[in-house]
Amino acid sequence: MLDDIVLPDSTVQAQLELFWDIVSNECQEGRKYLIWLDLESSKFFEFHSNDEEQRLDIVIYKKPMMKLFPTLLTVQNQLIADNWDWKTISRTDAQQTDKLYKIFLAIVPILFINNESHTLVLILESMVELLSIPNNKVLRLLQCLLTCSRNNINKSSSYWTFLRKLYSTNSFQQSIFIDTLIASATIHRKSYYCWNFASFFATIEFARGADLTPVYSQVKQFCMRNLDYGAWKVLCEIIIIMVSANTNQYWLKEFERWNDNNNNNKLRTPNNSGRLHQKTMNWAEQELFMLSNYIKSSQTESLIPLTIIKWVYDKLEL
Amino acid sequence: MFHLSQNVCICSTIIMSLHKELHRKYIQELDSHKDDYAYWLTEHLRMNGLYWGITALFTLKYEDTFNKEEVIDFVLSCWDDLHGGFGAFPRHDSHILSTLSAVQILKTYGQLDILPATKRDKLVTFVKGLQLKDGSFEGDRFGEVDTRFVYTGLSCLSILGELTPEVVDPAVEFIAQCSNFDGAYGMVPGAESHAAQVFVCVAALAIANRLDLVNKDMLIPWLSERQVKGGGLNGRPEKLPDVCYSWWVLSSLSILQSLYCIDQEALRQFIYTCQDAVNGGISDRPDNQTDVYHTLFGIAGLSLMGFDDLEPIDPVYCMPKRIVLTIEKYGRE
Repeated sequence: MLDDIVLPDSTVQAQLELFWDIVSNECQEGRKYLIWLDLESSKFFEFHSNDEEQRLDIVIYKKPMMKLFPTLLTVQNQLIADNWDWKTISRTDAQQTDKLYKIFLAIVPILFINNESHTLVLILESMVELLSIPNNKVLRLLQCLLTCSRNNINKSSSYWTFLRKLYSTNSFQQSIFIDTLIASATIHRKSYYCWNFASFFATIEFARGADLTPVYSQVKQFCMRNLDYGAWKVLCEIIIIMVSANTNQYWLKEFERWNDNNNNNKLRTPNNSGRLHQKTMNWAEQELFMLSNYIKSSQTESLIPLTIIKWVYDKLEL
Repeated sequence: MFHLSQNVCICSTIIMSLHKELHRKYIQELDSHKDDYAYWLTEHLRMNGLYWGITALFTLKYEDTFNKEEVIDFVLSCWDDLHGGFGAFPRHDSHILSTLSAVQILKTYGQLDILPATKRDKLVTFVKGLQLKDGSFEGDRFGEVDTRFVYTGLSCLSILGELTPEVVDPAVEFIAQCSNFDGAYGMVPGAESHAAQVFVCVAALAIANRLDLVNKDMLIPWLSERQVKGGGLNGRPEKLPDVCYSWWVLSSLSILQSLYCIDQEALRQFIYTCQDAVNGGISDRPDNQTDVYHTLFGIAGLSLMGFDDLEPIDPVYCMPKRIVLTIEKYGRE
């Protein structure tokens, strides 16, 4: 039972609480960057303002974290022990929810270590609901995970799916997601799940009636710095959407699946959203011409993005 | 020295052998390091890890290395009676990936019948219950969808002899939608092509007996372009080579009967250079940390190419061919 679960000592608990505060609170510095360092320290993490980069650097020290890890995993494994279901605890029982909250704090750092623990992701999702953790805090946690320095964490398909789910069931500012995907793509070049998220995001933003110009502009800037196939594919998809309102039907269905019982979060019809921010074929032709010239003139080892531009020409029948 | 593209270089010293005994020892000892952090860090992948290790040992012809009873006991201890299916570790929630690994292990050891009829029915219900109306599969109740899970679902049901048109037909339709303009496949319709996704889609179509849907004229050249200077294979254009693509790319080419499209000797040398010649195991690239995942897929790649007197491996199921022969094939007389 919940009462039987042994928690870390109070010093560690205080660190865990501070860690959650740091990863889940709004950042005054601009954005957060969680980095792992292979160093010894008395604490498992520290944070400091990085004025030059306009961000808050959160440093996890590998050695103390690895020492702490078995304790945290033991908490998780006590939670999922046989013969009882922790999800049945009463939300109105303050003592129980307080204990569950302390368990939640112990589990959060495991997310930064075990990238594809499906059980852990299910625990997180259930705890967020049981403890009524605000969605904006969950969003900031996911941002930290997806933009952190460890590639196995920032490319986790489970975390990117979690982000799509959270985005679909809430209304957050567009810029938060653009920042996250550009930061993640910058840290982890050619990140498969990151650019698939971008494709999903552009499709749903358009279907929600939003202007895709800021997304297009940021992705284009990224493409000018990186001949990353996935990024260029998304850039071209956005051109197609903005000109023809031709969106990926699969992403629309996924959005509907996450919102199965939520009638307040329905998409606009493609026709409506198409009219709102539609660009002309002339615009598309000019953009494609400029992009082709850029690729041809850049000192690059690859002309692969040209094949994607050709795909847009075919798709738009230009 | 000669150079791979994208700044990888490997030594020109040709290593002519697969360190079979070292790899056996490396895999055997993985389970004895229970005091190591690495052992606990990978708890959530234990069932998959066990499958990778066992399949590598069978391919190396060291199938008696692990105690069969202990392995089966561990697999059965991961049964999730609430949802059906198997978790990655005792008391973990079941997931389609760990469930397939469990079924593969039981099949490999000839122990599928150890599951009582009630559990077997619950297992089939769990897997079938993850299929959505559009034919895709979720990994578990979290709801992630990916062509990986379509393959996993079909492979699992195929091994259990439980495939039906009601499952197969929509799954095939979903996979067909994941085909891209370059002939390759992505994780969902419209997603970027990726060699691992190509494997799961092509292998799923092979299980469904629908390889006629593959655009071979485009896909085979795309797969052969995955070989980079230095012999290794990558998963997407301009990515670094990685030993695991010795499986994802090669198995796809093997299923399409086109293994001749790559330089097999060069790939063999690349895999050899990724071995740890002291402690055993194979890594993703030369001099990196070894792991059991890359160890299996390096060895499996060599088996597909017919090198090193290895046990022949089946390109669709990633299990020894002689065991796969006992699986009833769907849609064939």
